[in-house]
Amino acid sequence: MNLILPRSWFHISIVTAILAAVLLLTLALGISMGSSQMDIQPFIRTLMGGEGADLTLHAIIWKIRFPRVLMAAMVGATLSLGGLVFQALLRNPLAEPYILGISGGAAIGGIIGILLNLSRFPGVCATAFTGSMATLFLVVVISSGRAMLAKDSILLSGVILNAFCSAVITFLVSLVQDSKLHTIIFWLMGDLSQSDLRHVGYLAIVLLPCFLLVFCMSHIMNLLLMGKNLAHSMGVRVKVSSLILVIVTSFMVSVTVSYCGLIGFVGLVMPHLLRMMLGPDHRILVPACILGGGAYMVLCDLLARTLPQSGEIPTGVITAMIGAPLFIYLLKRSNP
Amino acid sequence: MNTALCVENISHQYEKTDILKKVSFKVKQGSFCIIIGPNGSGKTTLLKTIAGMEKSKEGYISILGRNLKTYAIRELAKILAYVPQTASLDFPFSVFDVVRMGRSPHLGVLGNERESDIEIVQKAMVFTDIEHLAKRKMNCLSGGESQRVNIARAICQEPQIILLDEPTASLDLGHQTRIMDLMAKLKTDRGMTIIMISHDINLAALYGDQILILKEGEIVSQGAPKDVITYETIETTYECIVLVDESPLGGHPRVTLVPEKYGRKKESLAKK
Repeated sequence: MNLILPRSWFHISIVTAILAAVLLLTLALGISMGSSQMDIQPFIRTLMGGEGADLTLHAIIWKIRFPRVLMAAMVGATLSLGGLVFQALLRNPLAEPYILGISGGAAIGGIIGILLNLSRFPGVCATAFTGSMATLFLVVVISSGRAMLAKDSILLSGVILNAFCSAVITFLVSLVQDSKLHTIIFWLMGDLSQSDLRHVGYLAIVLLPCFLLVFCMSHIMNLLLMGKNLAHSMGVRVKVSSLILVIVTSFMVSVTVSYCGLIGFVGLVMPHLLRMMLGPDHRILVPACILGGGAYMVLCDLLARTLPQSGEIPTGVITAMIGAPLFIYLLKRSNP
Repeated sequence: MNTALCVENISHQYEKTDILKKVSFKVKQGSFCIIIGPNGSGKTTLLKTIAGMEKSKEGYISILGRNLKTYAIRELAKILAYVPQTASLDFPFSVFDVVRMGRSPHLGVLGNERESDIEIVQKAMVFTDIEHLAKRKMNCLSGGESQRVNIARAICQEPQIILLDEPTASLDLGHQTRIMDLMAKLKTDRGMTIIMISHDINLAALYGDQILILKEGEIVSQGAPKDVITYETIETTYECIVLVDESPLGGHPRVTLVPEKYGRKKESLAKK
């Protein structure tokens, strides 16, 4: 008998390579197009330099679009990875940082940070992280604490807290004076337009080690899917591993929320889509979600920038508008 | 023969009610121990305590002559495997994926297998007769099939002791015997120690070397089937009327339920 041979590494590298190529392609697309110019020719001319180079376009490409697409890629990667991790931890394909209230908590923290005139990094990041950890703590307390991994109670208390967070956010927004109102509302809807290269750098320094850590725990996530007793019997320290994963993920999500506000559905759509295509093995899904989530977000952001005739739509609106119907379609089409 | 498992004075409380009260017993290496008892008597808690999933404040458990508390969790996973009653899985893992997870305690953190690991996985699948299911999804299996997959996964851990929580529950007669024969074969072929919870006293009598009767967190009786499975102990443990005779196969004790229309009234039990 010759069954499927262990080609895990081979499989992981192939999938990673393909999705990395897709991500690069979308990044290139994201840089080459924008509201000021849709044609590819002036872009190439400017990129190559020499005759016909457009100095304004040059500045737009490198000062505005380049950091923005990188930011979008990192935010997308973080959010879809966050969804993947929470789905594994709660053994529920519907879990996601946004639905669990963790994004909402981070947003409350973020608004408080902005109202206190803190800098985005590390000030707002810290308040956002505090906010997300506070909601996470509440979620665990509400779902009775003992059964940390109980399937539905934790999701349900997340939904309740998310609703509560929305109320608090609206309350805070209603207190704000005019000058900050536009910033905060745009930020809340998921806004990538404030990106600059320095911030992208900070984000990369903070997020990349987190990505690596989650990848190192990807097989543990596979085992956790079998339930905490079985995971324990196969040598996983369930409590420690879950706690590490929860904290790392909440941290990543808070950091992105503090930069880009609330962007929902990425963490639901991408893990589902990729799981349907690639199977449930997290050793493949973790890199796939990082790269695929990044690519998806870059595309959504591109749509946000180019769809309207003037101005732009917040990216979070696009992800939700694509995400929600796609999610319903996925749910109807196949039982996961 | 050496002792595989030694449990001494294990007690366990859950929200101030005693689940286990000073339970003590020993299981010899390479023997088949079956724990029986009414619902809620603490059988599953006992099994989970042995597996290290529940911590007992009092008492002492030693596995292969070593204190359970001194084992690192991965170390324990190499000598002790656990098969739960039901393992639900909402994610589309294939049978092969699940069985190979059993190798994890022997592998690095990313669980990357060598050729030899895959051989072990294949052998376990042949042993449990599930190799034809390899590519099927876990959520499309019947009860008997998924139970065999779980046993194959446990075998892949290459343990010396396997703990099973009612592996034959809700299976039909044919599947029950196949699972039990499988466990008996693991015992004789590989010298594994099997510790199993069962609700079926007759299966326990047929296959067990040692029977443990648990009631309200205490061991009522333990020993060889013919010493333990008597009508007195069964009647007092389960509070029902039974008939115990010898099976024509090997003289194992055989329990027949006595419906009210055939026998003594239940009140006679209370008087005893």
